[in-house]
Amino acid sequence: MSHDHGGGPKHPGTATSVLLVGRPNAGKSSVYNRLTGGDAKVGNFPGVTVDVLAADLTLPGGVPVRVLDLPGVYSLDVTLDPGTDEGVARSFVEGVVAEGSRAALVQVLDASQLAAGLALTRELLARPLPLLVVLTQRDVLADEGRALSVEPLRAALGVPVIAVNARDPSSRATLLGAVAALVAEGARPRVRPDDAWDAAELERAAIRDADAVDARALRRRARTERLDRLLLHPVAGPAIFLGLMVGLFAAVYAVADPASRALDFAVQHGGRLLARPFGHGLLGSFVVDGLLGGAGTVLAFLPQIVILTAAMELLDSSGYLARGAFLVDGVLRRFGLGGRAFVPMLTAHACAVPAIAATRILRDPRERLTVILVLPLLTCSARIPTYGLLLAAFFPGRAWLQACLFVALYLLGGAAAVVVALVLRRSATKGRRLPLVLEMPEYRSPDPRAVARACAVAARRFVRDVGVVILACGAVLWALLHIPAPGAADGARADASAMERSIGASLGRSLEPVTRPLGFDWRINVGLIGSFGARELMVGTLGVISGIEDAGDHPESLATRLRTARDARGQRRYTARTGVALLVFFVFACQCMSTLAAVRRETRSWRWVAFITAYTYALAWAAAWVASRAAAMLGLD
Amino acid sequence: MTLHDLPLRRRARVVALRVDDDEASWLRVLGLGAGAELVVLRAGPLGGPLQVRVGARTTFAIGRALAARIDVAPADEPSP
Repeated sequence: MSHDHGGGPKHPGTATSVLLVGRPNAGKSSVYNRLTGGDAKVGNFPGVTVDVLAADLTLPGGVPVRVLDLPGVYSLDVTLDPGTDEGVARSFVEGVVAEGSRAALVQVLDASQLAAGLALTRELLARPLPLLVVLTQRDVLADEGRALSVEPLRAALGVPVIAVNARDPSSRATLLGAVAALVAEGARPRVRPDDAWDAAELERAAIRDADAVDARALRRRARTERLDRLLLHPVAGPAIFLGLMVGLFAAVYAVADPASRALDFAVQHGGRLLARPFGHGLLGSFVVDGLLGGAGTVLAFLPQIVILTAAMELLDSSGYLARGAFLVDGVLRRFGLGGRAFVPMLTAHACAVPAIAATRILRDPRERLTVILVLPLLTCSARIPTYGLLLAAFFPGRAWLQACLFVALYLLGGAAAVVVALVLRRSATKGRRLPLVLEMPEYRSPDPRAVARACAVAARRFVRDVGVVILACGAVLWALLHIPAPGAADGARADASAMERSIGASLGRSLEPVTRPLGFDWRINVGLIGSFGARELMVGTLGVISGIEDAGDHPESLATRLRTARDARGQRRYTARTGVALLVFFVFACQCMSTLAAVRRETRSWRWVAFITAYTYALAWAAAWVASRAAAMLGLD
Repeated sequence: MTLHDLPLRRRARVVALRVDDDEASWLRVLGLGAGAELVVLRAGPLGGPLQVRVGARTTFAIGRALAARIDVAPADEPSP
């Protein structure tokens, strides 16, 4: 099971690429799982912004192939943005054609919507690649007493056609045999021009009583109708949707806390073990604080990513996600976005990086760009520890006030995102809007294997895209805080700690003129520098600066330290105004290199990376200044 | 009559698409070309999209702006 992370549609070695293509909801995942035994590796193909699942397998007869699960598409020819699902699928197919690499197409087609799926078949037939058509949902047709016959399709299309029930394990042999025969066929000459078949006529020829809708089909439709009557009800529908979303947040939050505690414990324990061989010197400190601490931070976020992915996958494959989009479209439209934008915007409340990848479901390129640009404003879970620390430090003993402010910070992020989206749609991303056309599939029970696969993929992707960056930033930050700045020894007071003489401290001091209006001194600036790469590092950095080594474990002592710190003249160093300003700063600033890397990957431009950095920091400064003035007027100190 | 103005549960057939070529081919790929039979099931809240059943099985959410540019001819009898 070798797998490489490069090469795009071109694959080294001798394996033939087998590209699975099909409309969304056609049953492509089930066919992929059946064919590959559920095995999936995430390929990060350059030039393609979306991770495409791939698995290597050996066909009967010993032929090696690589099966690639392309995103679900309605059409390859009618595409707009190369970054969307359709664009990705198209660039894969065109890539293998252009390179002349050995490849074959397998179209997964929902037999219960045969005529509609044949539109894509027509496009695939125009490509000089062997094509196999796999009809799914035969059981649904059989259930309705409508016999399916593949012969008329074979005759008209001139390619092999098979019908399977992919949820039945015995279908694997059929699929493997058909793919083996297809691969053996080799490159097919371009289809003869007499492909003048009519999709609707072909459907009538292939399916007996194609036009009749029998009692069972009506019952199935009636079940979806009944559920829709409740779930899309003008009042009950939005209420249920809100309830589901709140429940999802609660689940993510409820798991986040114990998970990070458990990991903190494990990291501390590991730290003690590692301190033995490495000692307490610079090297030991680097390994324990710099590397191990960073790894713990990464792992602490994994459970939330997995829960959110599982929930989204369940909602999606059950058919509810499209209903959610239907319900919120009216509201989001007022802000220049469409109903489907809620999917990435919800994901961003766990982490912006998978959310940016999730924007590929948006077909409108301008809407997609707008959503990418505002996603960093939504409150991701990496902000939670900082919010918790600052609320505990500056609003001590007032649990209800802390809770209200916490919710207010979430709402502030959400409100900022939609308002900025509205402004962007009238300036940077203005232009024609694509109309909304969104398929609302029948409700069905999700495939647990597909859900498990999605979770595994999301976890691996998170460690790769976010974990590595956090680790690297943690290491750099460690160096900034432990290596003395050149010449600092002469200028600083003799009793100054090593920390105060570090490169980090002198950087923090040089930023003071900019941050003084907000009430931030060099210590907070060092925290901001530390969290520029990854905001997860804020609490730990403030702890190190305040001389508390295990701040993550005892945030209350760090909170007390922040609240009671005095400057040389005996004045309180930080007031509640500083706390409010810092909280608001954190709502807006895009302190996350992983997010910026993801934006670069999706937009293929540094321009938008610079744009996000500039606008979020400018907004953060301005909003923090306003918040600080407002807090002063309210008499906070 | 446009799809936007079609009464709920009234069967109709698409007569013409008043959109540009790209959008027209996109709609045809989805099965919403001229001749498609459809029924509006409900309208989304706060100016949201229309839920439209196309043919016997496929259901789409279609934005109202687009619905106003799809001309339909209503059938006489109501949908089952």
